[in-house]
Amino acid sequence: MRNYVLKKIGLGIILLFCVSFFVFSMIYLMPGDPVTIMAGQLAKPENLEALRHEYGLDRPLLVQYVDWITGIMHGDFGISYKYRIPVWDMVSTRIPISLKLTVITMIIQYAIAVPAGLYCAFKKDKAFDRITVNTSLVLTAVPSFWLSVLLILGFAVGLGWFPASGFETWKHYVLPITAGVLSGLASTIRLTKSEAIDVLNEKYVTTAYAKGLPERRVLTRHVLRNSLIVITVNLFMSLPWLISGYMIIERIFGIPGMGNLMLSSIIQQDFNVVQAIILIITVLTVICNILSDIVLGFLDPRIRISVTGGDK
Amino acid sequence: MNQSPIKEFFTSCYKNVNFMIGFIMVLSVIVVAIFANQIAPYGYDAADPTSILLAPSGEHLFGTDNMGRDLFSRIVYGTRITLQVALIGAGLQLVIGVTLGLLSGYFGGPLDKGLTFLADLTYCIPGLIMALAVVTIIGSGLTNAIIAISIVNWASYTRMVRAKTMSIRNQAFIETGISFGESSRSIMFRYILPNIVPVIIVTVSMQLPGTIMSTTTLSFLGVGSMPPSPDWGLMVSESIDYIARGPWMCIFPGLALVYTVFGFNILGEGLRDLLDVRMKSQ
Repeated sequence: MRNYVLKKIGLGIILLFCVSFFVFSMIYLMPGDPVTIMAGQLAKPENLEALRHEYGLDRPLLVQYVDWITGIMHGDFGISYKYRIPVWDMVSTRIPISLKLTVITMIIQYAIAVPAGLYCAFKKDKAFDRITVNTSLVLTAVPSFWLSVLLILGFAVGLGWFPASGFETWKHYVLPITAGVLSGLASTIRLTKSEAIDVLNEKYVTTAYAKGLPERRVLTRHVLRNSLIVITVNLFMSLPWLISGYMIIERIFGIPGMGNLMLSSIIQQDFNVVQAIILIITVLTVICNILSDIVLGFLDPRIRISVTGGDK
Repeated sequence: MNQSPIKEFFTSCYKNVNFMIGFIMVLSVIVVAIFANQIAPYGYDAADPTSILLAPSGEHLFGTDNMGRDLFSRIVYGTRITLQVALIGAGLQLVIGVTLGLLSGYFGGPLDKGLTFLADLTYCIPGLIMALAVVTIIGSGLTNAIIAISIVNWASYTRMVRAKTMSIRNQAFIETGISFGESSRSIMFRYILPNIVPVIIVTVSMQLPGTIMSTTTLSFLGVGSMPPSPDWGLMVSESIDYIARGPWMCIFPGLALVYTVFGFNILGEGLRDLLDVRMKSQ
């Protein structure tokens, strides 16, 4: 177990390093000079040089990287090229909004998808399963941006029940969250179902049946418990993906979350901010991946052994 | 019962409902794209200031948009863009993914370790974020959006091809080939590649809907196709401002997109059953 955890954490640190370097070097791969963007096209060359020096952009790349990463460790993401205020101040107010939306979405999605998926697995090929499978097939073909626009059309413009944009009252949250839940529902049901079917095919389930245990007991004690663990871990570790998926929904409903900020920063070429958001989301993803690997390895010795090759 | 294998394959295709429905749906999109000039009554950017935001009628089947362009014609021309995305996207991902997968699976060792690590790295970054990052670097536009999506997606091809290559590279016929003095390249592309074609076909068909969807999403976000392109994602994003006055502007392009993606989706499901490739859809 210790070897497994160490291996995963070690790999994670290397990944984090690579990802952060990739994100950092993005700014040098981008078209246009950040200084020119800051000062405008008409600035004098000597002023540009001064600005470049002020932001430390005239130093070697590696020195800048080390500086940048040390700054971030202290919560300093640099200064926005466009607005000349600390990037962290811009981003930090957006994080709670995005998190709130994604966590609520995730809970609702879980509450609907897990029972549905489990039921589909138990009653495979019965009417409910067929309907769910076919509905989710159609649902996976519906892009979330169109779904959001349709929701606005139906419930905001058509029926006038909910506002189309903003985030002041609970009513503002209904449509975005519905869009978020619906767009992730199909894949979550599918994941739950395939996971539960895997467990149903396990030998210990056959054993439980062979022992003469009643069906209900086999399902609750053996199947439900074992499949739920994996599903829960998988779902909650997909949070960063959900945040990035919410970008589109935030954009359409005008919610000032991280995704919306990133999109407008891309358009305004405020690369510092883009960089910070990409870094935050990828670091979150890497951490969630490591955590889920470790938790799953804890729960299921088979995964652990396949990674460390059998030594404890 | 003594049918030829090919005939047998076609009979089983015929019996597979998913495959047939998907095939017909995709075929219809292809036909529309080929005969777009004949089908569309107007040009895709033929603006008519006298007929702005007209509701669907006999003259304008799907209505007109805010510039007076016929939506039906625009959607018909949009099939070309969608298929272009599918073709170029799948092609790019295939070339990158299959080559790297073959190299990684055949040679193993440090090369394999490095490539696997790179694949893991791309799995760490949510797809949309990475695609946006790439588009920010290489610039907007449809081709660049397709490139961005391919850079995001190559890893799943590589993984699949690598696993398959590893499983057959120790078989006797490979050894025979090596003992005949075949070069590594010839072994990879003439011995291994034909044997993994079914896996590749299934992987392509499973990835295609996602590729179309992500590229359209990029167009919707304004970093893919540029106006006046009749890209369905772009059309939906242009419709938002006129949603109360012309709801048809957002409904029809979306329906076309759902139709196409759904067609590709069940075609993929059908192919997977037909070619009997065991894959767990994640």
